[in-house]
Amino acid sequence: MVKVSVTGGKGGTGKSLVAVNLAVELSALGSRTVLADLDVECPNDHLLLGVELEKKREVRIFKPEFDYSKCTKCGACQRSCEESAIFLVEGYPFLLPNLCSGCRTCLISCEASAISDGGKVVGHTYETEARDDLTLVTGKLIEGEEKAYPVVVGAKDRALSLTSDVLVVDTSPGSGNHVAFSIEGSDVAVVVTEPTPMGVHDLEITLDLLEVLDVQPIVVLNRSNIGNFRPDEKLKERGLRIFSEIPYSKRVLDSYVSGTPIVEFDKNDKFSVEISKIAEVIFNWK
Amino acid sequence: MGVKFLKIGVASSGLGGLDDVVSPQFGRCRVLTIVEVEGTNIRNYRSVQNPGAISGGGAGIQAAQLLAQEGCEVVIAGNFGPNAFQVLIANGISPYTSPPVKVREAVEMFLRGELPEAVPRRGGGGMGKGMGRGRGWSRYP
Repeated sequence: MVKVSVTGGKGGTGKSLVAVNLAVELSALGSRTVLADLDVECPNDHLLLGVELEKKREVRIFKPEFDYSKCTKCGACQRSCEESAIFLVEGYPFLLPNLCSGCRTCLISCEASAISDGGKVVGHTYETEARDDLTLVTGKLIEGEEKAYPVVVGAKDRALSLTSDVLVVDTSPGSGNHVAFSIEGSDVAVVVTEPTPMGVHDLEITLDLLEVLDVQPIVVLNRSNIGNFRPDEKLKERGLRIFSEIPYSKRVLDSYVSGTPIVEFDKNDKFSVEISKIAEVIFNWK
Repeated sequence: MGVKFLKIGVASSGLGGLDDVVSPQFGRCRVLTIVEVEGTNIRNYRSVQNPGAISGGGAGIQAAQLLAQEGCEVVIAGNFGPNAFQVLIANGISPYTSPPVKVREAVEMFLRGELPEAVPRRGGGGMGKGMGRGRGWSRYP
């Protein structure tokens, strides 16, 4: 299985658009493709594909439940909690649920076996047959929950459990832990950026991350004709170059709004042509 | 009529003590001055380092927990985070808001009934990790 991540640091550069179109194109080429939408705080690849999410499954994390009849008021759970999510009243532990990371340290620290797993649902994963040879796996964090990581892990595991020739991972913006985890293990990363100071700045952070993760980048400059702050020099310093330039086009916007990927909407648009070019590289990846 | 004893924790900006200034933040204050009051007189005081000042997250929770262990019934600071507020109330400690005056003055103002009781902040916006990431009191109705 070839694993490709679509990432880029800055938000709104077109990561999802590229990921969705790349996945559709790869499946059209005959690769059994899984697209993993790991932007769990606002997953919307299904909207770009024009499908409804299916096969919902819960993502649970550990949550301590205290049995006060067994509690010896030793305070070990409170002292062991790295997140300060446990506080004591008259020696008895209470939980601040929004701070709990579900790490289980309190469970291990309790010698009286007064703590059990109450469980907490922090998000869901979905598995949707989006096209003939394309399955979309989506992670979705429950609104208001703060721990995105377990949902990212849950969705990536689910995507990896499916049989496929290609796994396309759509990451969230940024370069934090869950983006790093999303990319980890990829053979290649499609880095989508734009010719703006923010785009170039965040591109560099992403390239640093890819170096740490030892993943080869393919740099894509989106909306290449509506900005003049280009990353060419910065890329040259790293021995890289822009692989693909996608100019802004009204057709892309039309496809975006209609919920039909541009590679299906208009095969001759520059966007589609560039996607085919990237897909070919991935398709022939050894 | 018996004389009432009371322990008051005061969030302090510097090294603590009666001449130190009340800290605007409860959770991240450097030192907690524990003032012992008998009737309307200050009998004793000592300074305790705030474990929350140097912790990664949950600063206010740790500070509140310390005051509970010290047996304080009242706490004075400029402002309280939502988590700290919950731990204080659960432990029967009443939070009061004070301007940045000297610890001694703040205690005297409290004893004269001049300090307002703190109200839980709504919405996000604490100082430290834990309550500063946009999670609000509103989650704990």
